Order: sequence, then C-alpha cells, then structure tokens
Amino acid sequence: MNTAPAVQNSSLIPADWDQVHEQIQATLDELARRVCMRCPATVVRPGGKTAGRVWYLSSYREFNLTEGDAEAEDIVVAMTFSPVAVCIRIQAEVGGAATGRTDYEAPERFVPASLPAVLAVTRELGEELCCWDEVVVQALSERRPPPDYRKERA
Amino acid sequence: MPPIIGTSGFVFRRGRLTEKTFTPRPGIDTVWRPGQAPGLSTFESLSLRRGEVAQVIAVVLLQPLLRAIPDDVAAGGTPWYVSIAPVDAAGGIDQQLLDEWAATRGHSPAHALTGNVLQAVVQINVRQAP
Repeated sequence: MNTAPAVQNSSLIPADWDQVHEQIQATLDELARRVCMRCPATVVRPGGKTAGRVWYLSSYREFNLTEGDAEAEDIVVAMTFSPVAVCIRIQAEVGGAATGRTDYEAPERFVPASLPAVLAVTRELGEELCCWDEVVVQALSERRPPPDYRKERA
Repeated sequence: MPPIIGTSGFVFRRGRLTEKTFTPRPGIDTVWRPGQAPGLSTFESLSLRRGEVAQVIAVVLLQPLLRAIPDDVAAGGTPWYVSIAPVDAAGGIDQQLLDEWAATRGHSPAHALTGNVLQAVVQINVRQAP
C-alpha cells in the first residue's frame, strides 16, 4: 500500500474546498430541516469536515436521538472527494459513524479536477441528498449501539 | 467470514471519516484492560459485513508522539487489536495527554492528535472483498 500523499496534484486550492464544503453544508441544512420535520427529537450536530493524504474533503453532518453517542451511534451523512488518476471521485452516503455500516449511497461520480465541475456535481448530488431524510430517520430509529472495540474479537 | 489480513504496518479503523471516529472515547478508550493499552481502537485484521466501511492507517505515518500498541494476547488482550495512544519520553502511555485528547471528542476544534491520526490514513472507505 502506497503511503505517499495522493492529494498534492489537485488543481483545487484549499479555498476552493472551503467553497465546496459550504455548498454541501447548505444542502445538509436542508436535509436536517427535513429530518427534524419527520422526527423532532433528532439531535443535529454541527457540520464537520476532514481532509487527509488521500482525500481532499469529507464534509458531513451527524445525527442522533441523544446528545451523546454512547447508547447509539451517530448517523453520518457525508460527501467525500478523493483523487482517482486525473479525476476526482465523489462519494455521497448515509451510514453509521462507528459501525461503518452503510444505509444508503449514491452511485460514485467521477469529475475532472476543476472547481466548476466539482461544484456542479456537488449541486446535483446535493439535490438528491436533500431527499434522504427518510433514510436518516430509519437509521436513527434502529438505535444501533456502537461496537465495543475494547472487547470485540475481530 | 474471512478476515481482511492487514499488511504489516497498517491497521483498520472501523467507521467513517469524521473527527469523532478518530478521537478516543473518554472513560472507555482511556482505561487500561488486561493485556490492552488504552487508546484509539484499531485492528490489524478486521471482518466487515457487506456494506460496512473502515479506514486504513499507516502506522509509520503516525507522529512520533503517537504509538500503535498491539494487545498482549497472553495477558488477556484481543488478537489483532492495536491501540493508538500518545506516549511520553520514556515510551509509556501519556495518560494525561490521552485524557485531554479524549475530552475533546465531539468538540471543535478537534485535538491535534485527531488530526495526526487522520493524516496517517492511506486508504479510505475500504470494504470487505466480495
């Protein structure tokens, strides 16, 4: 497995990714509104993002029915951007924060490494993502306990 | 289900690419157990069900302050289990720093150690091979 950073070749600069993140978070605001309409007890955590050696941005929002996540794992809705050859792969999904279980995912998209292309597909995916409120509420209702890593036998 | 066998030097962290996923849980991951050091839980080998994802961390990319500590199975630890924890100058667990790290879980900004572990991720959203 290669440990060299793969994200150095992006033609997008950090400010571009900030713009992408803001666009996703605006979409997630709308999704959160819809989730709370369906399930008013939902706790919506502040938006978050990460970046690393092999991905440019993972912009996400976490949902739960309690303030903590000890009883049930957070449900995460995320859009993640990573390099694949000269393209950018975009993954959008709903899933468990701790179990890693995927409740729903959009087909992967591959776009040229340019800000207009990334924003356009992010907007498209965002329109789809807004309608995932039922998936989020269903996942929340399952109240999946986080795995007890400290006792688990892999 | 056959396990994914971790290549030497790589460990799996189950879950998603969020800051919380890469921050130890206070009161749980900060506690010693027989044969098991406290710290962020990872595995050298991990079975994933269909649709589950994990992140791959290259141990060599962890900052010097962090160390990957495999369980001592003979002392009651779990096979394939590896804790990632801060260590002091003598190489022992820096419990105070670990507690500080865990206390930031769910808060913004994330602790620098969370960022350090995220920077050691070399493969994202891996799944069980069909």
